[in-house]
Order: sequence, then C-alpha cells, then structure tokens
Amino acid sequence: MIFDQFHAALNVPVPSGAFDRLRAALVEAEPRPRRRRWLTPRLQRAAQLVLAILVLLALAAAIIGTLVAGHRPPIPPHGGPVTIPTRMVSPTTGWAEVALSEIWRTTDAGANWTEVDPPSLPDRRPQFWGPSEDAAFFLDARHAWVVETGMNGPGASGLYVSVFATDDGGRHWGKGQPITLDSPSGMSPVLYFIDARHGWLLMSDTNQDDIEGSPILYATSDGGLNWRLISTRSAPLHAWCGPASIMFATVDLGWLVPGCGESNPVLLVTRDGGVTWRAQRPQPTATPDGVFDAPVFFSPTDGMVFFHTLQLLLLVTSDGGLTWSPRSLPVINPMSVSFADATRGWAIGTHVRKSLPDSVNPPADESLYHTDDGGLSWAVVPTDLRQWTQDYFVDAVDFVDQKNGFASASDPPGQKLLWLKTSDGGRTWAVVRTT
Amino acid sequence: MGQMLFDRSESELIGLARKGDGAAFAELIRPHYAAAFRMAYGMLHDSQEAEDAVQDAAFTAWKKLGNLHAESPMRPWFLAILANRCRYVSKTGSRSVVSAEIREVQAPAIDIAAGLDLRRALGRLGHDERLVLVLRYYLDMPYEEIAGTLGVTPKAARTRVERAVHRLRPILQVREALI
Repeated sequence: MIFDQFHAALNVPVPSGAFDRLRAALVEAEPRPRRRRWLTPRLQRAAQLVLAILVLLALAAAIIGTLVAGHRPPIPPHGGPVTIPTRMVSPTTGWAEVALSEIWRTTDAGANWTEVDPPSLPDRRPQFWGPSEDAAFFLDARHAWVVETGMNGPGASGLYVSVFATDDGGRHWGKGQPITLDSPSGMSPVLYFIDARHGWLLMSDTNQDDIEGSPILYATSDGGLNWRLISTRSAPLHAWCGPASIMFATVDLGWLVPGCGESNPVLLVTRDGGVTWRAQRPQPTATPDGVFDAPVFFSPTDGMVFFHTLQLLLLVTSDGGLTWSPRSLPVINPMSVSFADATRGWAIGTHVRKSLPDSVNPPADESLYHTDDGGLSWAVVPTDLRQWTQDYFVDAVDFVDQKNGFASASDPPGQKLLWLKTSDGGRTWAVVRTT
Repeated sequence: MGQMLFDRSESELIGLARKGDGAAFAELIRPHYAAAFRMAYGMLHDSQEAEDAVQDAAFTAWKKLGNLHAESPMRPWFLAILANRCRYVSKTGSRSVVSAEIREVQAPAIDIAAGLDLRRALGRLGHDERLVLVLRYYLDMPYEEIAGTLGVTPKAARTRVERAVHRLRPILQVREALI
C-alpha cells in the first residue's frame, strides 16, 4: 500500500534527453549545455545593463510609493542563498547548516546570510560515514560547533573525528584534538552542548559484523578542544539501534533517543553525565507504539517531549524527568508546535488548500493557537498570518521568546518558500524572505 | 579505432574519468541515471530541479572520484552525493525559474489531493527521514543498498525507515479516513 502511494504521488518519467544533456555537459566540461545561443556576448552585456537599470527604477518607485501612500513596504531583497534556517537563537540571529560542510549565519532575522564555516573544513566525507543532521550544534549567537570526519588528518592516522568550535559567531574557528577511531562504518556523529564549555559527542560504532552496534560517548569541558571517552557499550543494548538524538539538561542529566523502530519505544536517561544509562517509558501505559523526539528542557527540572503515535502527544515534566504528564494539544495533529519556555507555546493547525475543490479538502483548522500554562489550555490567537500565506502551507512556527517568532511556509508544489517574522506573539507578521 | 566506451569495464572507465574524460564518467553514471533522477524528484518534487540536481551532483562526483574506494559500488556513493545536493537545494530554495510540471492536472481530484498530501507530509520531515522513504518506497531499494547510500548498517537503515514511516502515519491516516 505505501509503495503504491509513493509511486502514485511521485511517479514521473525521466525527461526525454535528460541523460544526453548531462553527457554533453560532462564532455564539454561545462555546468550546463548551451541549447541555443541567440545573444552575442555584446548583446548579453547590454541586456544585463538594461535589466539592472529596470531593477533600480522599480525599487525607487516602490520606495516613493511607500512614502506617498503609506502602504506596507515591499518584501526586501535578500542576500545569500539560505531561506530557511536550521536554528534561530534570538529575534535576529540564526544559523543554517546548508550542506554537510556549509555553515551560514544571519543577524537580521534571516533577510541576509553570510557563510561562516571553518575555511579548513573539507567538503567531503568518507563513503562509509553516515551523514548526520546533528553534526553541527548552534548554542547561541556566538557559539557553534561542527564535526569533521576524515582520514589521516594532521595528528591522526586512520579514521578520525575532530570538532571545530567558534565563540565569535563564526569569524574564527578553533579545531579540537582529533579522536582516532577503530571502526570503519556507521559513526553518525551527534553533538550537544549545554553551555560554552560542556558538551558531548555521541557516535554509534556499527561495524559490519556488529549489527546491534554500541554507543561511544565523549565529553568535553573546555568547549570542544579536548574530549574524553566516558561511555562505551553501557546503554541497554536491547534499546540501542544507533542514535537518533541526544540532549542534556545539566552536566549530569541527559537523554538519548535510540534510533529504533516503533516497537517498545523508550528514552534512555543518564544522571551521571553519560557514564551510565537506563531506559525510561514516559508515555502513558496504554499508548500505542510510536517514536520520541528528543526532550527539550528549559531548566534543570522543567522539560517536555513529543511522542509520535497515532496522534501527537505532548508530555511534560517538572521534576527533571522523574515523572511525566500528558498535556493537550489544540488540534489532533498540528502542523507545528513551538514552546519558547516551559509555559508559553504556539501551535498551528492545517490550512485549507485553495487550489483544491472544497469536496476534497479535509476539515481545516487554519488557526494559530497559544498557551501560557504549559499546554493545560489553548486559545486562538487573532492573527494576520493568513494574509501572507493564502496560497502557501505553513510548515513550521518557531518562537524564540514570548514575543518573537518565525514561520516558514511553502507552496503546494514546494517551489516557493516564505520566511516570516512576528514580534508581538503571533498577532502580526511580516515576510522577511521569499524565493 | 579504439575500444568503444560501453565495452570497457567500470574500473577502466574510472581510470579514464580520473584523467579528465567526461564521456567515460558519463558512461559510469548512465546505468544509475534513472534512479538518480527519481530520487532527486522524490526529494525536490520538480522535474527541472531534479535534472539540475543530478547534473550538479554528477560534476561533484566527477571531481571527487578519487574518494570512491576500490571495490565500492558506484550507485550508493553517487546517490549519497546527490542526496547532499538535494539537501542544499531544498534548504536554500535555490529553485529554477522554469515552472514545475504539473502532471497531475489530468488526474482525478482525489488523486491530486492524495499526491499533494503525501508530498506535504514528506515536506514536514527532515531531510534524512525524507531521503530514506524515497529510497525505500519510491526507488524500491533493499535495505542493504539504502545502508550503503547512508553509510550505516542494514539494520540501522531499516530502523530509520520505520521511524520515518511512523512520522508519516498520522497524516496519511487522516487522509485515508476522509476518502
């Protein structure tokens, strides 16, 4: 059934001549074959100059129109390629890991981006290293880390892992001592830091003969320059299938989500900084199987975790994860939920697709919801968000504090992206960036 | 006359490609092109963007052909590079100005909605989750080959697919209940 669904939804033939165009490009060693050339270089330069003049005139007209008529200003032009950040850490600053070795940063809420990855970070991975979306970690506006994996690097023979660290927003990077590894496969490094000095590097030692694999956990207390091995094979093996994610609430209290399937899902918890781990089942006893996201902690005691089962469940704790309680969500399966702290959160429902007939649209809930009691109750937020997203789906909302938040939206074919910002808790929004 | 390229072994083609022979590298890619295009389309949902992504990935792979280890299969290595390229495209919104092929306009409204629902659901997932689903259920890849593309064990590949399916399930169940 699911195979059929995927084939029906995605099935499209290879365009006629596509491989021949690729072959021609490779033979000519050009990025794109020239199909037809009707503009001479001189005419091309003239056309570019005319286009530039027209763009300037259009901008000038927009600005004058704004001053005269008092209309909402046009969507500003953008710089840098990134539209959707990996993580916003403040109302203005955010980071993006665009490819496995490209780190970008914004200081104007995503309108413009600057590439800040370590200059010496190689743009390659050995074949047998699993790429990981957690191989970079962004703590705040200044501190970030990114993992390098390689072979026979400076100071390391064989396979190694090094961590690059910055404390000035990516202007300068320091490289930590390399960690040499024995296993040739499946390392999938995952990083997590709780402050500028204390962090953890988790890898899964899954060589070809050891199907179960085992966790390897390193810790640092100097910001990533030096790492010490603190745990191997100590996680309950029945719960270990490679890491999905790891997080720490304090230097002692941490959580690990095993990468197992949905059967008998658990969280692994440590209360000694990662030396020993035990399995915990926060979900209610009668809950069907599902998968956990990584917990989020706002203090040593207050945290929450989402559990994906037949519907999305929210579980909260106020005693450092000793006990967990379910909380309600405003809709069964919201498109996105974001908490700025332990009490203030937002959720957005499913939007109506105006391009489809009413008869095939599911029951829609276009509302933006807000809670200020940790999910005990939710209320609709009067918002103008739909003014900007009429032909788009809102994919996610992300609030960095009680007033400032962001939303990302895309059109049905997934071609156009919107990045929006609010500074009044979601009541009014403005487009920061579009493609 | 020299031996035709299609008569040469893969190792011979790799040798030629490393010396700068673009035609030889194209022959290395040829048997994998259809799968690569389908994977890129599954990730980007646009034919033009998929073709561009495959082309860009091919040039990247050609430059990095030295990283392909001896005796290692070509396809998972190339698809891993393509996956990285697709991730870059989807993250930056670097889209072609050419309009997407809306092939589903001739299909019944329910099929249009179902297809859009699945694509929307895929869009909610992270890149890695979306990738394993496309590899498994659109390219019909066995777990062993998915593992080679991701650089993990077959068991880890299977569990990643299971987790990603579970993320999709609530949305697909809502859709099925309404039809």
